[in-house]
Amino acid sequence: MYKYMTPEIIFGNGALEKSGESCLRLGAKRVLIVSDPGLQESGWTNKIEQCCEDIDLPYSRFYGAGINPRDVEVEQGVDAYKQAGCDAVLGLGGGSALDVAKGISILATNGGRIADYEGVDLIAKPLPPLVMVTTTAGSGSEVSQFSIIIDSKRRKKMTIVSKSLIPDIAIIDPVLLSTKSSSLTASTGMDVLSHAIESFVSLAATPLTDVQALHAIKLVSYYLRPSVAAKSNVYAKEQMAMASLQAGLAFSNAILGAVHAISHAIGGRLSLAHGDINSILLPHVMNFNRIAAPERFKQIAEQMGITTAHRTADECALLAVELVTKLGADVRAPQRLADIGVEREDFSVIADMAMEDACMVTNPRDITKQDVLDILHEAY
Amino acid sequence: MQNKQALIDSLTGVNSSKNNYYSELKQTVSALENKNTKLSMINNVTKGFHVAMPMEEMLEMVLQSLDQLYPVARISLSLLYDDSLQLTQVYPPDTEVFPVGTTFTKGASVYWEAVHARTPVHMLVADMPSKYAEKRAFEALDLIFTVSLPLYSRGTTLGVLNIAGKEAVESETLDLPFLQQLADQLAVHIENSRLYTQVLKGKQEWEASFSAVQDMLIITDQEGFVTRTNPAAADMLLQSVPDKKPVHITQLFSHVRVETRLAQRLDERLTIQERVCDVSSAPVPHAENGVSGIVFSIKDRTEQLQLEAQLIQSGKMAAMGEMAAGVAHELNSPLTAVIGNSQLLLRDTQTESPEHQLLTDIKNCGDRCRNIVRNLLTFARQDEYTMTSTSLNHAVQQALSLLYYQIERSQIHIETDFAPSLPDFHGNSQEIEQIIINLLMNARDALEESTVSEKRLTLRTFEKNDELHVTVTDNAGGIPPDRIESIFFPFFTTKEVSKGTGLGLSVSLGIAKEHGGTLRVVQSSAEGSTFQLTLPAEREEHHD
Repeated sequence: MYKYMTPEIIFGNGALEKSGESCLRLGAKRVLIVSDPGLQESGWTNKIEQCCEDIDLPYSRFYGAGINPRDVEVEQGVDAYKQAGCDAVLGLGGGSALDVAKGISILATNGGRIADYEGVDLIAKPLPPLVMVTTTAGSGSEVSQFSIIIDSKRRKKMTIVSKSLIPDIAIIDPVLLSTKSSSLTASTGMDVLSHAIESFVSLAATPLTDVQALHAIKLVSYYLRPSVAAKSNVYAKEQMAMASLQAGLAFSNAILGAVHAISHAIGGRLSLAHGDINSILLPHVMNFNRIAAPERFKQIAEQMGITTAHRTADECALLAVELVTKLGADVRAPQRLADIGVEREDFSVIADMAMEDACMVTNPRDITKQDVLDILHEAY
Repeated sequence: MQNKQALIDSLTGVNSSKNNYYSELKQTVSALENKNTKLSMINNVTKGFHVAMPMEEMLEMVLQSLDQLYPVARISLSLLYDDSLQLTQVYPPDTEVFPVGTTFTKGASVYWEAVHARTPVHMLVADMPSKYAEKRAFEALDLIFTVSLPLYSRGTTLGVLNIAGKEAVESETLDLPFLQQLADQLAVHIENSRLYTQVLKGKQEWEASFSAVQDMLIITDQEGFVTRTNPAAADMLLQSVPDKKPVHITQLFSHVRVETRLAQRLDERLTIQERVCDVSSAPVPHAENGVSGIVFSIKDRTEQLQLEAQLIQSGKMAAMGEMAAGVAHELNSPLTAVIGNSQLLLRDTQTESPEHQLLTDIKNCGDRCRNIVRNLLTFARQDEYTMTSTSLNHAVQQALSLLYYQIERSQIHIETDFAPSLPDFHGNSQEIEQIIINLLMNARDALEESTVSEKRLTLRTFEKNDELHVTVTDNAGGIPPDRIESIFFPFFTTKEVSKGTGLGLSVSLGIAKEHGGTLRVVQSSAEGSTFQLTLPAEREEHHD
């Protein structure tokens, strides 16, 4: 028995322009636009404001989302929402801005503090109409039931899981990816791959998520390199946007695994790009999980272009690990934890936190704290 | 392992769904409906209460209303009397377990806890401290939960309302603020009911006094229309103004222009329905310096005045009687000598001699003098008046004999017309003689002042309709119309101070009434007037 959930999805070049009227269709009278300073700089927030003005939809701004979504930002955002008398939220950005937008929505109708909702299904009341425009082709937050918010006091990424967090409308406009730096493209691209692979080997994977995951793996394998290589490669960007969407749908429904559990633990302590951490951890976790689902890893290898005939499943799995490592290297994603500033003395704390993370539940291989520490050491 | 699968299930959401505005709306609507039900309940309860409602009925109503919302099985009311909290009402009644009248001890009672807390106290009977007196009773009644609600009105504690039920209900479900609102409404009504009872008692006391007063009390509105009377006044009003239409006070005091004095206090003696009355009035004060009406207090002085008059008159009569007796005694001796000596002389005188006629005259005059003296003695005798069968003609003749010469001397012609064989009346001859004397003297006085050429006084007796009548008629020109009403009042006189006291007619009227008769002016015109004394004829044959 399984369930598959998805928001309404608008995909395509220029889909951004549908953002304003999407809010209007959901009954918005005044919308709070949630975004980050980077997007303001690149002019995308102006574009979205223009969309609202064109259809006379009043809006208020909250462009205070940081590189990682923090509880403080959520609280500031909800104050802005209430002061302006908003009744809908329009998120524009990568995973951080979208998760902050989700956090604001939770508090807007449910009240209290964001930490009250950490865990599964703790949101009692429906959120205001929520429209999300992704700008990174990575996080999958625009289609997922997850919101990851950092608890500033505990220095921990809180995982909030609820069907109510699935936005009403997700807008994926590949054109938005054209302003991204190559390193961000690489980092988010590797994140998409980690979503796809983890959800495919997840204990909660279903035929519906498998299709999405495998196709996403294939798209990343073929189009991440050209997408990183040239901002102007619109076709590659479009394919990466689709890969991100499909991976997002897959992990939202099949959940993730140890990569994300450990990554959340590291991200809670250090302000690092989520995609970079995932990129480093992914091959090591795949290697650890390899023996849990050899046939699955064989299929991953197939999607990545390996000829599986005359090869054992484990041979294929090892090849897949190698290919992932190579892809990371090719797009110049970070390779070692040491390179991005993670300290060995934090490993124990990180391992403890990772063991508690909801994503650990669906990891295909049973895992202990020592296993996590081993992985961390290997990836250092 | 099972645990892990359960976690995966909750993560993938087989057992949960996106929250939905429709269900949220339904929840909100149902919460509103619940609130509405409660509000309308408070409204109904409030509307249903009325000040005179017995407490038990109120509780029954509250219980029935609450029953629609919660499993409430018992409701009780405890009221605070001078720092003593006492169980006053229980519904349904369960006197055996916890009798009405039970008082609760501070510190050992959940009711007291509510009084001190000033907020609803919700408790499961099982959790109740065993020192609480109510615990035993609730347990005996199989009650599971109880809520004690303090009753406050205008800042004072009235008591505690307690509701209890046989199923465990959480305080959230009970909606304590709502129950407190209900209790507040009840408190207001209990307070009102108490005040009403006080006011009602005051009103009843006042009304009883109002009815018990023998003086007539009349209350009018500002315009002078009668709004309320006590029984004494109602009788008088009914005689004076028989129809039931709004009666104006001036219809009662017709000859006094009361309307001009409505706003002022009135305090004077007026004549109402031939009664002498002291009338006083006072405005009924109303809020904001206004006047809502006027109270008239009417004291009937007639009896009192007549009594006074009779007392004075009898005092005078007593003095006069003594004097007359003295004079009569003094006259008796000389008269005996005159009569005796004239008889002796007559015996020795020839009938034909001229002296004989002279002596006869002396003797006759002496006899007449002795008769007068004897009559005078009889009239003035201060015996206890006894009522016996008496001849009216005899009494009239006796009276006339006393005044006959006086009247004749005033050049007044006396005519008499006495009906023969009149029946007797039951009464006192001397008293009736006094009436006749008064009437004759009044007629003589009037005729003396009159300028009519042929002065005439007619005295008649006759029987009509089983009544005996005496009329005294003069031709002295009649009584002025504006005086006719007053002539029977004590101390009313038209005569000089030396001649009259103003008591004659009023005392005569009193005597006539004592005999069950009347004394009236039956005719008064420019020619003259007729006074008529009417007495009932004695029905029974009497034997000497």
